[in-house]
Amino acid sequence: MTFVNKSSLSKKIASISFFIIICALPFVVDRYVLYVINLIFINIIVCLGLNVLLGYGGQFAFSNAAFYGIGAYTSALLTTRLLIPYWLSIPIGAIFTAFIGLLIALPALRLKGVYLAIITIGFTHLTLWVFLHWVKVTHGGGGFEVPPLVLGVFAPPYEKDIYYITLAIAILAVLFTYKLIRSKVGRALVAIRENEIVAQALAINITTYKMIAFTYSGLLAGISGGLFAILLRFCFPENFDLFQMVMQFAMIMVGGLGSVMGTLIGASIVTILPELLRGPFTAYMEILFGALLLFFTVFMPEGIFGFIKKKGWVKRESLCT
Amino acid sequence: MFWELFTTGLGWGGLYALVGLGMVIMVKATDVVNFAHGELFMLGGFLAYAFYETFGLPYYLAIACTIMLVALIGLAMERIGFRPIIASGGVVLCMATVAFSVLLKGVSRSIWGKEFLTFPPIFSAFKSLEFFNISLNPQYLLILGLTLAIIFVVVIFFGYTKLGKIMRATSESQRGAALVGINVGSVFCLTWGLSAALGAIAGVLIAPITLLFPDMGVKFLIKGFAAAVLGGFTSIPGVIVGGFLMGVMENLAGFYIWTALTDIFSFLVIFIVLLIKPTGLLGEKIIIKV
Repeated sequence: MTFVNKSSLSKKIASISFFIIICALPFVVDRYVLYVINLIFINIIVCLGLNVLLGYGGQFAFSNAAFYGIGAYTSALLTTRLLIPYWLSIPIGAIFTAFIGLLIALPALRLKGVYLAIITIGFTHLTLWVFLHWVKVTHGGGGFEVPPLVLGVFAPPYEKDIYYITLAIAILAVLFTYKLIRSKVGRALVAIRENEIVAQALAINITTYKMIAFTYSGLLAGISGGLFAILLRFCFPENFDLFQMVMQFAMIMVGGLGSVMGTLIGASIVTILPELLRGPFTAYMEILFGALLLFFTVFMPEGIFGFIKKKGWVKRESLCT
Repeated sequence: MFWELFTTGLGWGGLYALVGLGMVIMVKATDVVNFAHGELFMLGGFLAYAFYETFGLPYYLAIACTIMLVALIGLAMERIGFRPIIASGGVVLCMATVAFSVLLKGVSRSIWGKEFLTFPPIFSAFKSLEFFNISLNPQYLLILGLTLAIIFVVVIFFGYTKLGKIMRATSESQRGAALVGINVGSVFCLTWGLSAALGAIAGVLIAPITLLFPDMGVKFLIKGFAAAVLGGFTSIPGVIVGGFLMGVMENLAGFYIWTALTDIFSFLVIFIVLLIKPTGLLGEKIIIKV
C-alpha cells in the first residue's frame, strides 16, 4: 500500500527508486547534509502530529512546541540521569508526552478557536518556564549534553549511524498517520473541523476524537523530540519556544494543511530553507519565516500540495482533503 | 510596603489594561485576535527610542511620531494580512497575525540588534516621590494617570461619538452595518490603526521603566491576554478591570507568596479563568446559534 496513485506502474517504480535513493544517501553525501536530512525526518514526524491536530481537526493549538520539548527533555533526562537506554527512554518519553497531550485535550474540549490558542500559548510558555527554572532537574537555561545513540553499525559519522533509525520511524509515522486519516478518526476530525455542531448532530463524539487528536500529536511530538535531542546531542530550552511553534506552523502551511504529502513537502522545504540561507542571513531568519508564513497564509493557504491538487496535477487523496 | 506594591501594581495593571484594550477592540470589531499586538507594543518602545535618541527629535514629537508610525504599520497589516483573507475564517487570519509577529520581531532584531536599549523617563528630575511614607517612582503614577485618561477617552469615544457607535455597530454585525450604509472596510482600517496606536502608547509608557529588547512583545502579549481573559474578551470595561486586577495581584502575589509567581501569574490566570469561567468576569455568555 502506497500513498501514490495505485493504478500507474510508472509511479510505483518512481516511488521505489525514490526510496532506494533515500536509503543510499548516507553513503554519498557529507555529514552536514545528513544532519539536515535527519532533521527533515524528525520534523516530518512532529509536523504529522500537528497536521492531524490542526489540518484535519481544525484545533488551533500552540501546544506542539511544548510537547516536542517535553518529549526531548523526558527522553534525554531519563537517559542522562537515570541511565536508561534509548530504546526504552524514547518510548517512555513519547508515552509520557502523549499523556500530557491527553491532559491538554481536557481544557481544549471546552474551548474553541482563539481561547484554545491562548490557553495553549500559555501552556507552551509555562513549559518553557519550567525548563528554564526547574534547574535541579532540567539543568536550566544552559541546557545539557545528551549522550549519543551509538549503534556502531554505520558509525562514523554519527549522523549516518542514526539515519536509518530516524528514517524508519519517519516512515512508520507517515504510514500510521495515513491509516489514521483514512479511518473513521480522520473523517470524524474533518467533520469536527468543518462544523462541530453538525458533527455532534451526526453522533460523532467530539470529546473522544479531540482527545485522540491531541494525544496523537503529543505522541508524535514526543518521539520526534527524543530523536531531536539525540540528533543534536544537546538539549536546551530555547529550542522549544514559540519560534519553534511558528516553524512547525510554517511547515504545515507551506506544505498543505490536512494532507500527509503536504507535511512531507512542507517539512522538507522549511527545514532546508534556513540552512541554505545560513551565514550572512542568520539574523534574518525570523524575517524569512514570518514572510514565508505570511505569504502562504495570504496567497496559498492550501499550501503547496493543496495548490497542486487544486490545479488538478494530482488526483485528490480522498474526499475530505 | 503593601501600598507601594499596590500602586506599582496599579501602574503595571494600567499597562496591561492598555495592551488588552487594544486586543479587545480588535476582537470586537473584526473577530480576529491580533497575535502581533505584542510586537506593535514593542515597536512603540523601539521607535520612540529611534526617534528620540537616534534622530534627536524632541521628546513629545518623538512620541507622537512613534504612535503615528505604529498606527500606519497597523494599517499596513490590515491591508496585507487581513483584507485579502477576510473570507478565509478565523484560523487563517490568526495565522497571518502570528506571521506578522515573527516578521516584526525579526525586523526589530535586525535593526536594533541584540542589545538592551534604554529610554529616558519623562520625570528625570526627581527619582522618586515621597508620599505618605511611601516612595514611588513617578513614572508609575504617570502611567497610571495616562492610562486612566486614555481609557476615559476610549470609553467616551465608543459610547458617545458617532464614529464610536459606527464601530460598535460593525462589531455587533458586519452585515447589518453594511446594510445601513457603514463602510465596513473603513471601520476595519480604523480599528487596526486604533488598536495599533493603543499598543504603541503602552510601549512608549513602559519604555522608561524596562529595558527594550525585541522579545518583550510576547511577554506583554500574554499579560494582555490574561487581562482580556480575566475581564472577558468581549468587554471593554472587563479588560480594564482585568488589567488592573492582574497588575495588583501579580505584584502582591510575587512578594507575599512566591517570587516566581510574577513570571507565571499570567499563565495561571489564563488557565484558571478559561477552565472555570471562560467568559471572564464581565464577559457576555457566548451563545452559539445553529
